[in-house]
Amino acid sequence: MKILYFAWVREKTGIGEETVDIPGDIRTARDLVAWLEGRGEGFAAAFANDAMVRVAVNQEYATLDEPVSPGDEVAFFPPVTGG
Amino acid sequence: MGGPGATGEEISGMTLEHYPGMTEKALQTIDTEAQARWSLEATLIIHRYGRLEPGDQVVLVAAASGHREAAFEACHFLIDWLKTKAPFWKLEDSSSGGQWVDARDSDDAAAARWVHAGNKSSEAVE
Repeated sequence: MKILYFAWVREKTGIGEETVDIPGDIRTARDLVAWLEGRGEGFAAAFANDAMVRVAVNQEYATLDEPVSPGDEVAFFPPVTGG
Repeated sequence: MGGPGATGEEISGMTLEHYPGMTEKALQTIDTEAQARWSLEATLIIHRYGRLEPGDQVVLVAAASGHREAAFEACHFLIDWLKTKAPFWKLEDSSSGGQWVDARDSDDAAAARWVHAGNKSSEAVE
């Protein structure tokens, strides 16, 4: 799975993009966040407040209940502030 | 871009981050929605990214239509929706360092107006 992190989410995780083998029991974006949170302090801090982190699956906005699978591209980012 | 930033301090510059691939798709989706709602000849969205200095332009939206009301509304729609739906993030630099700009409820409210509004200019206005 390709995972991307943007803005202050990236600053907290310390990673902008990675490709990881995810555990077999991960079904949804919520499961993925729970697994990521256990990968270290930075990850725990990045996902400390679910309400402040948005998710996209295969470049489409999604919710944490969105199914995810190993071949997906998943991105985590703060609410957007363009314009 | 200019004036005091999110923290109220004078900003010395800004970096606009985007999500290559998804950002372009999101802008295209917003544009397609505008074309579906209004009778438009053409539209244009330009949004810069990367490092910007005070006074630099950030974004431009344009719409051409045979009816001015449709063109004005479409522009309003394009900017309201790209501010809340296109993946960009602003990092403002000031004397106290970098500060990520938070999304604003006012932007969300502006975008929400278009969710049910459809387009007000169903009849032609010359």
